[in-house]
Amino acid sequence: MHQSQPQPASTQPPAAQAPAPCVELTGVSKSFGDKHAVVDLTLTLMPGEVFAFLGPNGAGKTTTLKTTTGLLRPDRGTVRVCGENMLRNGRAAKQHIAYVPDQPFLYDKLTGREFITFTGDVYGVPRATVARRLARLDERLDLEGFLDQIAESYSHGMKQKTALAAALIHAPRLLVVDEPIVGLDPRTIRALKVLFRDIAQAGGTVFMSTHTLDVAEAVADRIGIINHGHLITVGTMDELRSHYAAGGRLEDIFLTLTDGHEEHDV
Amino acid sequence: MSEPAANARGVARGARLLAGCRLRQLRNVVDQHLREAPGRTFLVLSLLVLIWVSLYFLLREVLQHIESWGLVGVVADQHLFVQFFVVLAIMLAFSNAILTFGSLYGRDEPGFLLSMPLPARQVVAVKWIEGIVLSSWSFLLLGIPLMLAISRNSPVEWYYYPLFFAHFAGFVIIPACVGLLAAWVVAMWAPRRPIMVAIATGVLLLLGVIYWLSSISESALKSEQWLRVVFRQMGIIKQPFLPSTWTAKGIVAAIQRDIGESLFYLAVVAGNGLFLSWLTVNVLGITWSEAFSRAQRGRYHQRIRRGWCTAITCWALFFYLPGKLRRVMLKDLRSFARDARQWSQMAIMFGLLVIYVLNLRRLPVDLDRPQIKGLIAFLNLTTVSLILATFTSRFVYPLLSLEGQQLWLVGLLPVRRATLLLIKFLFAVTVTSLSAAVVMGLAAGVLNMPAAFAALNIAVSVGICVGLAGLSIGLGARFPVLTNRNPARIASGFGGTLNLIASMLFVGAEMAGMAVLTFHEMSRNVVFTGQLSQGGKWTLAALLAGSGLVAAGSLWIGIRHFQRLEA
Repeated sequence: MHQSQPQPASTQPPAAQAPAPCVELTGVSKSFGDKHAVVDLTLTLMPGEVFAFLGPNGAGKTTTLKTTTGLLRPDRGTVRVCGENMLRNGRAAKQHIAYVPDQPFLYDKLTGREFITFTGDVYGVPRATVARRLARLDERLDLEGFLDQIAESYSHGMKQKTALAAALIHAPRLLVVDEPIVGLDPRTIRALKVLFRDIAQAGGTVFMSTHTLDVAEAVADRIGIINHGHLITVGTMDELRSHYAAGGRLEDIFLTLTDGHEEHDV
Repeated sequence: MSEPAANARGVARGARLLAGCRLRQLRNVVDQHLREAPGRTFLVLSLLVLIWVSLYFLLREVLQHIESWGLVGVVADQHLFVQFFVVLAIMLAFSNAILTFGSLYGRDEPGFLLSMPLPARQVVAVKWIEGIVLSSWSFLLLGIPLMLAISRNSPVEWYYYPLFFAHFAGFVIIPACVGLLAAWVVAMWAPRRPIMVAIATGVLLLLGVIYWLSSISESALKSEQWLRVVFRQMGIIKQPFLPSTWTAKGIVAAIQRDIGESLFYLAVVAGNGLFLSWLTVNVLGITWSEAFSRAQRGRYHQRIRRGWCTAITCWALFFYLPGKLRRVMLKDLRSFARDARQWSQMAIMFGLLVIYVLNLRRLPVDLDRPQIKGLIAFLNLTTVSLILATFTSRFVYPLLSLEGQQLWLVGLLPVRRATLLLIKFLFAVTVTSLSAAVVMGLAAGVLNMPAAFAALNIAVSVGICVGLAGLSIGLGARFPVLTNRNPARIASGFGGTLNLIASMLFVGAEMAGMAVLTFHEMSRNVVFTGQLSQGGKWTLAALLAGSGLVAAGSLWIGIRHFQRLEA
């Protein structure tokens, strides 16, 4: 049981930002057998914002991200990305998305450059544009040392950086990232924070899940906390501070709301 | 541009991209092997050629015997080909189903592809092509030796060769599609236990074959007559609506120079294959997202395991070990017991052996003659040893590679690495020896052999287990593969292939010694008096010592290397 069941803050972003939402999850529920991974979740993300999704292990973060990207089909509710219904028009919706899972996938027998080029080809990005963007990403993520090696020799951090570069190669309107900073060195973490902010400034949306509260606090415009599949609260850092008055730190708010519960990873 | 035209162009583009990606991976693999280990690559290719040539000679001999026994009708009536293609279809459908389940409904690559704006049908179509390419290996490995063996025994025209190839190519499309459909059915309706579904299906098929074999082995006939009865009873699978029958008829027509009939059956097979392909790609394409989503459900729904059963078994089997080492052993036992792929294959192999042993009395030979008894016992031991060699090469050899990948953990344990190696050796010896002893003991009972001769067979089989386990553990530690989590791939690499060859040579040497021992004792007619001759005792001691030396030598090599291994 939760220690307290506070009323969630608004799941809608500030009205002043206005235009069409980038992500609209409406009444989304997803179960795995008896396990209710996500329950009646409603959430809207707007262009130009970085949204951090927090929660204990097994709270439903990854399920929500996968449902948003169309990898999992919700049992109930609707998912819209950039105005496209994910169930009815998944291909059109996915054209705007990039997804980096917590365990990034690369083809072991391709080099990083070949993998990124393949991803660009799938999204129909001209080769010249791929090369130009890759050069910029290389500067920011420091890929050059290993980009032409076979991916099976990469460390977790190298895989993560390559997967991020591949995800960004088509300049997506929505970047969905699950645990983006695990395995990265401090310099790359810093670069990634700046990159996320730049994406948002350019009108894109970053939807990330993380356990690193400092990063969420530093980068996110809004933060959502989920526990046992229920979205407990959503708001800016200031809103959360004023609403919960739990010492002013995100860590305190998080611990107060989630009550220290942990389940199996979902 | 109209919508359908745009879609068609999109499909072609996507398929080209995915196929290009596959080809690039293949090119990198070839390049990597040639650059980093040309010697190993050459050795593995040479072994493949050796297997291929051996198969050709084996098939040629079989066909010659069929001819010499006056069973030409078996070939002419397509019996032989019908059975060949039925078995091939089952094997291909199974392997395709297992591979497709991973490549369309697994987590990594399917998740990556599904998150991109690729048309699902295009992805499925590429997987369909991959299935067919995979199935085509059967043509290289089995089809070409068969095609050449037939042409060696029957005079054929030049067009027989392209027609044979075309029939084979047309036929493999069908099991490839059946495999894709089977994987889809499991993902949609039984996603929680895909491996268990595959095993249950395999066991049911096996039981059916065993029941059928036992029904035809009841008649005590001579081998030629028995073969005729077998082929006649197997006519049940020569159904006019089965693709195997069409392909068999088409190939026989090609042998008999009837091009028209051969082409007719080729059209029937290819037409049906293509229709099934169209259906498969569309059904799987339309439902890919749904099936993937359902398949993920199975991954989150694992039953709770207390582990008391494995704990009791471990205590019973390894009660003599110190508690700390027994806990390490328990970890290995649990890994084995919870990997259905491992124990199921072993259970199937030894289950078949037990059924064979229990049916020994039905063999059309006089089992009261001591020489026949000795010969059958020798053949039993050879079969058991060869199966054990396959088992240890496939399942025991990768153990050290998998353990080596966790060196950061293993290296910190307060246990010497040599001890860890010996624990794995002991584990492998225990599992294989128990299985071998049960089979050999059963065989001795069925053959009504005296205790001394039964003990001799069991002792040699246990000795062979010791040698095989030592080889697999020792070479596994000497040539660890630390970059791959797939045991099948680890076993098929250079070290695995070397281990398989070494195991086969070891079994060959042991069986040569055993042959000398058995036939020497048989010639003195004392085997069944229960007393081994002095020479026999020395040979037995030499065989056991040889096993021990092979095991000790391999383990020594392995330990030396494993102790130096860095995380």
